[in-house]
Amino acid sequence: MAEKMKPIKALTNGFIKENPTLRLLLGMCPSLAITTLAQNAIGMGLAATFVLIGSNVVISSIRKIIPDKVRIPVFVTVIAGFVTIVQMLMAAYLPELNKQLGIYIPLIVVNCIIIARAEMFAVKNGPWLSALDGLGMGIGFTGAIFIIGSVRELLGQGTWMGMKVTVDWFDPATIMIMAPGGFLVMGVLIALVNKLSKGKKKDAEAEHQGCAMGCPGCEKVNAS
Amino acid sequence: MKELIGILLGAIFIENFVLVKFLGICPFLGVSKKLGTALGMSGAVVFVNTLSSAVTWLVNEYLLKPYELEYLQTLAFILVIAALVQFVEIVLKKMLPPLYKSLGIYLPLITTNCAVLGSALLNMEREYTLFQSSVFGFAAGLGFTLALVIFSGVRERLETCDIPESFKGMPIALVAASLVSITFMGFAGLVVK
Amino acid sequence: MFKEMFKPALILTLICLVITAALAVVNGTTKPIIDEGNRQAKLEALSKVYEGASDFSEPMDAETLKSKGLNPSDRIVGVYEARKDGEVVGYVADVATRGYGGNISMLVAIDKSLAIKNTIIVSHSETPGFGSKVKDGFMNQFNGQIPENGYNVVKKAKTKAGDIEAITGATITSRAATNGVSDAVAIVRAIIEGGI
Repeated sequence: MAEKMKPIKALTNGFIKENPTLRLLLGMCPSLAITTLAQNAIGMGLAATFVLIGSNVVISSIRKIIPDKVRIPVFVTVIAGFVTIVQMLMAAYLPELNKQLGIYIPLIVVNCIIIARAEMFAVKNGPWLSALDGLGMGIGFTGAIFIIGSVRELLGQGTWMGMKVTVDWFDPATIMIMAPGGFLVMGVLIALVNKLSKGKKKDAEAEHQGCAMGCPGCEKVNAS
Repeated sequence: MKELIGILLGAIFIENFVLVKFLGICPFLGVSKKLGTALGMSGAVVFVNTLSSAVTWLVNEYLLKPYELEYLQTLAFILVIAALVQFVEIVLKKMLPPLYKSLGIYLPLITTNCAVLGSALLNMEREYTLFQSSVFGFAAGLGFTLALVIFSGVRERLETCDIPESFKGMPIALVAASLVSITFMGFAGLVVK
Repeated sequence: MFKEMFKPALILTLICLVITAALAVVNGTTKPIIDEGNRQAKLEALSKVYEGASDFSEPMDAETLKSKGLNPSDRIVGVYEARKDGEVVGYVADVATRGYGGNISMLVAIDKSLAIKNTIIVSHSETPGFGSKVKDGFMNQFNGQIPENGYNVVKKAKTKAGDIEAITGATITSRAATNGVSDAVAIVRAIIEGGI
């Protein structure tokens, strides 16, 4: 992947073609856990995007001095730094959302998306492109979990963004906002996206050669 | 004693880490294709998780609390976990090379396993003692193992089924996971009096 | 070989230090805001549950209560004195009881005549549509004088004093909440009778 990437491509890559949640299959844990309400999904998405952009920019800026041996710990440290900042800002200014998202905020640290983008993009590109990549991936992630959250909230509670939307005779399927519902909606959504982008899978594969992360979307891991 | 049984049952069944709390999904979906690899990964997770629960507790108690550095918890914990995994890798390489070979790339994966950091953070939230934290870490690992083993069995069966093209791979795995998750909901009322 | 290991470790340490410094700065600015926010929220909740009180004491946590010779259950997080014009008129117990989906946090206001004035559910993780109904009036059943023989969760209609009608489809939640109230009553009674 040595070709110079155009800025616009860096940005829009993460929207659909390489959507981190639905195509690269990264960041599953929070995607399933907090998508019980659409507004939670937005909150989480924004927090993750902030960390993603921040860590991408910083890691890209210092990419020339990061020794290869300790690169994963360096990534993790930088990411943890941004996550902690988000934690503190949320606790101070958005306490309600903070309570809703609970331990999933600090867990952004181990969100595969962020580490994967650091490894795959930030160390190979300049800060501006990395920032765009972070933004694009963040938007893709937020979009995906927003859809999942909306579906689950609608079917499981009859509301959307906290407002009652369905008619009275619709008895919500509470299971949608519990664990099984999360798996189900995610599975169906990925199948849908697969159907809509047949043949495009090859691109994602080539991108991830040499990655040490082994996240679920990787053929390398799945092959064993 | 009762309390410990409660912690064990809780993490393994009632609030199974993977199927109820959604912690450890990435490796769960990525590694559960074959029973052999599932067991290997699970064993490593149980070991690292128990150790990390204990060590992070100690770090919090003797390093963070006395100096009022609790806001560094996330940073400190993840570094401890990364170091532990590195350490386990080195030890395994020296002492049990065949095991090290078979676990291969799964070991570094444990660092980004939500379940490990998740257990450490939950220990803090629930204000467990050192012993309770270690038990919880161990139990969480067992819960992870249980979910992985059950699921790899399910997935091996799925291999021989006729599945629509778009559902092949991850989607059908997730649908299957949702069904397994429903069965675990049955444990919800279990209370240790 | 040593140099090989030394340089990476040094750089890593430097990066750690820079980040820690940055975090310390952010912490310094946000901590006071967070603490103040917590304090405000607590005061609001206490005033809401104990109407008529003008101010509240600092909470007596489990340690403090034990040091006074009392025996609070594990569910008791703390007890506040409710005061009006300088005099203690009652107590508010901060209770954390384990429900179906996690901890249910509640405040129970009990006056000196051992009557429950009010209860507020502060937070819970119960199932929406079922256990979540604990916030919708279920706790009103406890208001009033404390029954002689304690509380008893029943699934059918109430027959005697102390019967608490369970939420349909949420017996575990109902029992957890009831146990929380019982423990609150026990500790406040011990405080009042012990003249503490």
